[in-house]
Amino acid sequence: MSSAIRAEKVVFSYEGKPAVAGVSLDVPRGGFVSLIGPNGSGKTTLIRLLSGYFRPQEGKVEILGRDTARMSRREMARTVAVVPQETTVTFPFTVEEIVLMGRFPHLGPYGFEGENDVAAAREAMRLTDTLAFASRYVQDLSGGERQRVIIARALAQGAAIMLLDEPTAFLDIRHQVEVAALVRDLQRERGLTVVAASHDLNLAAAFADTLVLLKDGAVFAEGRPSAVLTEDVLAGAYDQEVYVGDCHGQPFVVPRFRGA
Amino acid sequence: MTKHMRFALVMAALVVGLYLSAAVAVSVGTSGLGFRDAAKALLGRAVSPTAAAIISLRLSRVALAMVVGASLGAAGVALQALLRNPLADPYILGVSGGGALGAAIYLTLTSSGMAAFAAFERWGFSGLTLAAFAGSLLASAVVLFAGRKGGHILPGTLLLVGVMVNAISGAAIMALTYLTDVAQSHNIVVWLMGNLGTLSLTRGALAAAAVVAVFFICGLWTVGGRLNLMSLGDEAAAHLGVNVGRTRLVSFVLSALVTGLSVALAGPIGFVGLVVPHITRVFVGADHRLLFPAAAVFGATFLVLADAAARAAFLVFSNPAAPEARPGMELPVGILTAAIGGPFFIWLLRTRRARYFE
Repeated sequence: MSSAIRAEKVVFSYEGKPAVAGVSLDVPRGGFVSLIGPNGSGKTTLIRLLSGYFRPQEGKVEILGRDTARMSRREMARTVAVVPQETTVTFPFTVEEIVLMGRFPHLGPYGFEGENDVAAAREAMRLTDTLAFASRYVQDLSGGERQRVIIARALAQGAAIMLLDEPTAFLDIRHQVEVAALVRDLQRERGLTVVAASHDLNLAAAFADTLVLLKDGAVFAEGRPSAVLTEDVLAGAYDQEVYVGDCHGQPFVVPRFRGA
Repeated sequence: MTKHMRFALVMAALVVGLYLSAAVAVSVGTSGLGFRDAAKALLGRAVSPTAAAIISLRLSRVALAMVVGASLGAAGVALQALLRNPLADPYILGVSGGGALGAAIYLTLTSSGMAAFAAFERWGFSGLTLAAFAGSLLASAVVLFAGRKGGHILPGTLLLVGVMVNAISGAAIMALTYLTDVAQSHNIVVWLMGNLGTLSLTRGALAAAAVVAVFFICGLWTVGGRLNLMSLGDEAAAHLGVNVGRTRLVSFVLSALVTGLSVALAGPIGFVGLVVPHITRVFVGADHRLLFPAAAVFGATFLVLADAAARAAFLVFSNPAAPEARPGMELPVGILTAAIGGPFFIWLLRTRRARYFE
């Protein structure tokens, strides 16, 4: 029962092409797991399976001990929040309106937010340092600010589990670190369980307790960052020679350039 | 809370605006009737019998403008949200094309010796209205079935199929207009402009249409919160607990019905459904739970005023010696909606920052 997420041999194919081919995963409560792996290795599909957006074609996913196949959309939304790579908003909503949207799975039949919903949104904005632009339009924010707003929305959802799909893909170094550190602080201080898919091996190594390396829809390697990020394992997973160095006990990865 | 306060203020202002514009509209006409008498009578106060008779005559038309304007305003909001496209309007999914084709077929039949059609009416609606409504529903059904893949409504496919259905209907209408006699082809052209003048329904039928329109608009209102989340993308909405497919289906069906109703009653009056949502958004913001009621009331006001302007323009340009009652000789309101709304919208774009056109 101490698992936040347990996936058992989940399988998912798109029109016959397997994307996730029998992955088992156990994320402890309060853990921070990073999913890494080459393009097309199944990271995003696995996130969608864990969030309940896709139903596994075989196997099952349990969230806090409950089979997701038996949970309603609303229940799922109150338990699992998802932060995508990027969010484009069609209409001119303010930051506060976007964060309040996170309260949707908690609203009554009347459909309007009450005082405790507003309080939850304010608290989420305080934690993500987005209160200052509450009344601005999301379209006017920079990529890093916008991602913090989306994380605030996920927090306002009041879910114990946060799934992130390459949340730092479009950010510069400073904002990558800022967003990753924010998620890590929320995990440590508020007991959030985090699963983040990432292409950035160094960032994943710096912030996650456990790395899960996927290749061809299956788990290729799993463990502490220093155990997964080795030259042999990475060369096998990515078909690319890399150099793995050590920076104050933390592994870092640099590709070896041919002819360099 | 401030947001709801502002919304309450805007709604109150809109309702007052609707009342004032109705009074203006009722007082426009050749037979003299003051704005004050009109405003008093609309509040149920006693006025002279002559004034009461004139008001009663003109009120049906004002009420029709309200029903059609409210329907188009709300349907425009729904379609822009459904297609996630600020350039969408209620007619883009084939409803107007189908309705126009139904009307054109009906008008052609009445001209080709089948006089039985001309007299046809049912439930207080004219044959023309019923034919247009049937055409709208048929076109919407075609768009819905052709715009689905694997049981899902795909907004992009839906949009393209809708545009195609409008184009196909347009070709058929051109053929009918070309082949039929001159008098009928003129009737088809005038109907296509959108017209509130030819009241072709009984008061009971108008009241029934109003109740049905309000019912559909309220139905759209109930999915407002879900449409908000869907403007973050399908996946984000689903992750927040929204049944995206069902929300899309409900908003498509309700907006097709309410648009079909307005096309059947007044022809495809242009521009209202495109511009009313944008103007309303400037004042109440993007939240669809507030946008639906506000756009409905503002749409009603907009069309009431446009029709009053159309009638006033006709009074100015027509021979003052000629009596008011010359049926069929009124400026179609469809000419005025874009003529008034276009410049106003451009002015609005330049005074306020229009976020969604960047």
